[in-house]
Amino acid sequence: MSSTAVGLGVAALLLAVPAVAQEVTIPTRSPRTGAIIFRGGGYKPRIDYEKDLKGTPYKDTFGDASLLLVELELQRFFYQGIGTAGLGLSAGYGEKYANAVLADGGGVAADKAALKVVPLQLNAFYKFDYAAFKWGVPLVPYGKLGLVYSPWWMTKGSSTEVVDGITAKGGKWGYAATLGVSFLLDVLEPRFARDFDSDLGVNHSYLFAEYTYAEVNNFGGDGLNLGSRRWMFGLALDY
Amino acid sequence: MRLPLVVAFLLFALPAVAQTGTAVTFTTTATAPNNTVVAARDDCASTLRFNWSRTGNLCNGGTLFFYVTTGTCGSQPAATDLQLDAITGNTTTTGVLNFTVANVLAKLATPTTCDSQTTEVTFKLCASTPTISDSINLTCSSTYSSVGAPAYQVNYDPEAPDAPSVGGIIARDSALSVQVDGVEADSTVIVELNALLTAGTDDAGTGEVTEGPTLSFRKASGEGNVVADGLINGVTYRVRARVQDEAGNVSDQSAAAEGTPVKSNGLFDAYKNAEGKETGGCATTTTGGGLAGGALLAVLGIWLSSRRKVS
Repeated sequence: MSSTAVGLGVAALLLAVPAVAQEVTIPTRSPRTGAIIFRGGGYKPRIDYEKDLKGTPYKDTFGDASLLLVELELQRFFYQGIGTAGLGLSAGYGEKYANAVLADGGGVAADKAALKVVPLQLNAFYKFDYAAFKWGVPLVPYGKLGLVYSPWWMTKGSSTEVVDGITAKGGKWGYAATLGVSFLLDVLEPRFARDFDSDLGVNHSYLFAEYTYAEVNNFGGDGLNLGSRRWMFGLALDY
Repeated sequence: MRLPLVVAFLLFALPAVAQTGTAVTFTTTATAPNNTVVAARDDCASTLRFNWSRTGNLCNGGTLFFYVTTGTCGSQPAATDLQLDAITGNTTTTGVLNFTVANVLAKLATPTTCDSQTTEVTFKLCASTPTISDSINLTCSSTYSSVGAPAYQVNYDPEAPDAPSVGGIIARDSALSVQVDGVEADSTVIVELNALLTAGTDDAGTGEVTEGPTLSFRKASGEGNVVADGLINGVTYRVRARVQDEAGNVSDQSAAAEGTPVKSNGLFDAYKNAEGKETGGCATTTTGGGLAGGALLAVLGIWLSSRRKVS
């Protein structure tokens, strides 16, 4: 009886060892509290769409070209359940240069004309990542709604333009709505993703594309319209 | 048993002997990059002032000489050196040395003056005293050594640089961008402009052209074109250039060239021409509202990023 008991005990112990080892080696996910997002894309302000504007100054200066806009966004997650929701703050910079035009219409001037913007945005977002984490679907749709403040200035040569005593700089308020979809990169290299988390605390990484509808004209007020309809692409890291 | 004691004694004694050696430290308020004071012809008669302070003792009966030489330091002043001071005894430990480049030139083997010296000459500020032959009794040896540091030198550069040339003028809005060629390194480019004014019109329909006041613009060499701004569009300017070298000598003027600023339109010009209603500013009815809004966004961002992780 006692030998049977000992045998059972040894067997139980041997069976338990792999379980213990497994428990020790299972990688644990670090807490997920926010995200950092890098993105870039073309930004073409709707200057020429200003009400009662008699001409197309943006097109006349820059043609159909867009500004190259790069942005950095920090997000904090306040809800993690069926999806993730929180607040984000982003800041960006965009600029576009072109030759100024001779005032007499005689051709291209030596001076460079430029438009520069620094879009700032505070937004609320929701992303449906429940399917990604629960069922392994690597696509995460998301949406954002945000308040935008966009400082801007225009230069000619090496100085800010002044026309009729008005200095070409200021800031515009507006709002923006964004819809996008992220591709969860973890599915491509799960082991690397785990290492990324254990080493650097990055839980998940995504590539994404998003479309933004922005009205940045002081909510319909007079003056410059810095709104846009644009696609942006980038990399997001949950941490 | 005695040998180790002797060695130990010597090892301890060496620093003590070194401490008794004389050392002079020079300082100056003059601009002296790399311990070199550069003097132009205009500075030839200006007084150069150096302060000195001494540590350590002189040898018994020794003299500490201060002088300026075109040769090397480390000896008694020669006849062709400008002696500035001679200190005996250990009571005086600080002092001031004043001299001019003209004083030094007058003592050269072939004396010159500020005007007759047309080539660059460099001379050194020296402090020399006899070396100590017996560190116990501080006996002077017959040889001298240089004890001054840092090794200041004065570079008298009476040569004006060659006149540059105006390589090109780019007409800009209310400005001219002037390319100046033939400029040596470490110098300053000076561009001078005069508006060409027509005083009146004679019967032949031509007026007497005169030059307006000189407008001057400077830029360090190697930093690209000199941009003369604040000009009047449509007015022709006569442009000349000079170069000022590191010492301060100014070259002759270059040959004159002419340029006329032209009005150009940037985006805001085009926008206002299209009757855009933008008036600039921070886009709020209250002063500073936009800044306050921006600050609010910034504070929220800081708050978001500073929250501690929830475990």
